[in-house]
Amino acid sequence: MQLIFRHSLAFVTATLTYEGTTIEVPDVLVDTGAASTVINADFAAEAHIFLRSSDQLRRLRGVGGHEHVFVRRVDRLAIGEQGLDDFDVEIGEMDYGFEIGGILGMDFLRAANAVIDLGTLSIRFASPSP
Amino acid sequence: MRWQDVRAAHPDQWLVIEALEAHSENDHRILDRIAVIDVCPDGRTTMKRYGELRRMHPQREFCFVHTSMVELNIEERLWLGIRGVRAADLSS
Repeated sequence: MQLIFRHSLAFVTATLTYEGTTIEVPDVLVDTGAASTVINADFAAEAHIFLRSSDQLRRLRGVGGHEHVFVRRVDRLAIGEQGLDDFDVEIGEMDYGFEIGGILGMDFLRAANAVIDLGTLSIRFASPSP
Repeated sequence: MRWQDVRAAHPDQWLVIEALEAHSENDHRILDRIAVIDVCPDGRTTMKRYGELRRMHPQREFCFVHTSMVELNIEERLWLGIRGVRAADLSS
């Protein structure tokens, strides 16, 4: 899968499945500096994911500021054919002043055995080590 | 207000609240003093309102909550990466 290089950052399109609905999430930042994976609430809404009173709330605290999100387990989060089932994502407003569909964090990248090739600007997934 | 007072004043409601005093403890954000900023009809609207307020007042600490929570449980995770970075920073 080709990465899109913009603002000196690498983006990819993800697919998210939740309760029978599958949506494409464009402009997802591939971010090895992020521990967890966040999906923009506007795209989550397309998959009928809305904040419920029972959702776990979380505050992400970083160098540049902080943001509140909620946590929801989705049926699948994938890049092309490769993905993870029953995966917890954070849903946030993600108002950073530029188009962003989400952040693919280390939790996903590591569990999916992602190989990021910055020479060819591509991402692929290795088979799990035995 | 404390969380118990917020719950008593706004039972079973979606709220945007502001942390007037807060601290971090054991990977949780503890709100010691709370102001109720807005009452909203549903979760989506509450998050949208939170986003607007955050844009207008980036230095203040807002949260979206539902008062059905007996204890206000907000996990906290440390982030590196782009959190809080604006487009102006990226294009410069």
